[in-house]
Amino acid sequence: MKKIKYPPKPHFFISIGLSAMLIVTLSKCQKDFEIERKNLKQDATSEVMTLKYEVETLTIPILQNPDEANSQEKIQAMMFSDKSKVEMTLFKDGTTRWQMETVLPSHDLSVQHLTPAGKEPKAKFTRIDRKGMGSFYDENEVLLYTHQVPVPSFADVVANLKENPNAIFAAMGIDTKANLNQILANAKAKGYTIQDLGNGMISVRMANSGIRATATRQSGSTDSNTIVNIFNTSLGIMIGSTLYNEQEEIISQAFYSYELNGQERLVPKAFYMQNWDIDPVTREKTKTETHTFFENVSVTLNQL
Amino acid sequence: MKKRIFIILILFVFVLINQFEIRAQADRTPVYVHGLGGTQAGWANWQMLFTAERQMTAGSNRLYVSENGVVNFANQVRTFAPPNNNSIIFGHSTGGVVARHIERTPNIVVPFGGIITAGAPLDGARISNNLANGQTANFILNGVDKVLKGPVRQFGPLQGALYQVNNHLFKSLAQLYVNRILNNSQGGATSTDLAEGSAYINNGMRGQASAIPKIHIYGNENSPVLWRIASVASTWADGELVNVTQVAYDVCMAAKNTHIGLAALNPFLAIQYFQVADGWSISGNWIKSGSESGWNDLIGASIPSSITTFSQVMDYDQFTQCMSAYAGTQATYAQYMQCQEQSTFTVSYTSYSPINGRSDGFIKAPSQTGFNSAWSNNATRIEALGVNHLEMRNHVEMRRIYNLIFNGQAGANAFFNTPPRN
Repeated sequence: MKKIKYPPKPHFFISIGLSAMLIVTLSKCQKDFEIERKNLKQDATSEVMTLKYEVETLTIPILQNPDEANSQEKIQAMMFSDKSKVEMTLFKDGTTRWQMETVLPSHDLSVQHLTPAGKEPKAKFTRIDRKGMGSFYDENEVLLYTHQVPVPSFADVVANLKENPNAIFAAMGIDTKANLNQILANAKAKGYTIQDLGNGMISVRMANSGIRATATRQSGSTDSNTIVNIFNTSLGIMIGSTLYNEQEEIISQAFYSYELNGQERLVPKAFYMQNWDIDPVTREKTKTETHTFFENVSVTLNQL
Repeated sequence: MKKRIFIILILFVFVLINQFEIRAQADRTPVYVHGLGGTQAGWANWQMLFTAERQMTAGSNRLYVSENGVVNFANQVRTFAPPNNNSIIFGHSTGGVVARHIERTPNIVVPFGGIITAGAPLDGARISNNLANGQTANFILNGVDKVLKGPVRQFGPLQGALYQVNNHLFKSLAQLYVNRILNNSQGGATSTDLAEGSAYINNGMRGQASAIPKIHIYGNENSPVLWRIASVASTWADGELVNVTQVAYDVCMAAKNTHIGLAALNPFLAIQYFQVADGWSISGNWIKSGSESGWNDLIGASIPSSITTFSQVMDYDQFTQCMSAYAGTQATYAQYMQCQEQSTFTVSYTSYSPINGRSDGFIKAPSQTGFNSAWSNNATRIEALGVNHLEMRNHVEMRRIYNLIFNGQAGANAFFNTPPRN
């Protein structure tokens, strides 16, 4: 047994919004990842697929008038980056199990501070079970604490796969032309607006007040969004997306880029997104760029 | 003649030694001065220990009205401090500035022979400036906004009771945080006096050299300073908020990764999930680093710096134009890759990225040591590592430092030697 780092203690944190996230339980229990792998195999009958990838995110808030900004405004606009190795297992009931490892991002934005570093161990590994309970481990795989993680439901993904098992290859908007046509036919059947933009490009407009509710399995939200996706039909790929709010204002816009893997198949490479928000102090519109880079994407699909 | 001079010298040395022993053996009568908004409880722990362990009387440890300006504060202290050149005045935070003020007041008999300050804003307290100009309030407002970015994007705008609970709970706790840490120092003449560049700070006193023995103890708290001092302010266990915020950061980043995974498998809704993931990332990064950078800026412990990184971005207009050449045909992946490559550029991004400097979580280290004060030129400066402004009342490191001082170690002036009780 490895040494226990923390005694069990409940914590309450005010700031994350939902009370479920506020309770911190530090557990004495310690498991390594080998045991989890055995459990994973025992549950194999209900597994749908396993998705592995490395993802790095670079977030760049854009200052509109950097020369006029004061130091607090500049700090609000600091860049940040992180990178993780992720392995996700999807089950038939839409639940998921996750393993994550934090690694050094290639966009290293770390600063050598003069403030002495805290001595508390940092989480390097995260494991989330099918009930959404996250366990966080340090670099020696010693359990630091457990806490509920607001994992979204993947039930829609499972439902789509039941309809069309090949839809898994639509991950990140990549598909064969034949499958894309099938997906577009399904979209039309659901009432989405499809428009030919010329030059082999089409747009699919999804005006759906329930998008957010469906996406998060939450009810009660009155937020109504519209998504417009742009496809290149000759390649069978998604080019970009735009997200509008109820007032038809753009709140997010994104473009995709891909690369060819060893099997001459396009796989996701990067996702460039711009977000517009309202500054809580000045009430002016602010813009943030987020660059999300993928590496080593692989999918293992089981029979449904 | 030589023999007579020698005898006189011997006698002189003997008298000096004798005087020193008398001084060292006589119980000191210390004067303890709390900080702005504090009470005599701030020094009660040390008063009890020093009285029990050192040749020191209980001295004077009183509750003063601290909000009516440094001059008013100092006048009160003088009233209860009879002249005694063997006495040490201990000043925590504003109490240290009060000690300097008394020592520099013209035409009075200084009622003590040495000064020990702990966490004193000798060159001013930047937080007072930022309280007055609204930057502290903006910091809280921005913090609330960023922390809720992930939850709001995932679960929608907070409605009804949930909104009320979150909004009021967070804001009231944030206000509590400010009030406790700032010791109710918002407004008030003393807070105005302590602002950097104020008329009081620039009144010339700190620019005057003085021979009185003095020691400046400065707190150098570990990162993240604001959550550590908030733990103490909230009467939580030491560092408990650090653990809480660390968990919060990890949960935010885990939530972010799960939404990226969902985006990858659900292309029609991908942008929605990426936007939620981005929200969790903003929440987590504010909790982890943005909050500390912002707080250090508010207290003046931030050193301006910037950082540059490079990223590959695509010009989608150019890409679309390139791909239009293959319209109406079954374009190949190779053609796609060629267009993508032609439209991809390396762009440099530079952002402000300040260095977090040394502080006790409330006053930057240079101000605690009188870095810009000629008055502090002869001071012994002692670092209290891992001690924040509020912990100076009872931290074990402070006890170690006081023992060094009373034992004549750590480079302290011999004036402060105070032998243990037999």
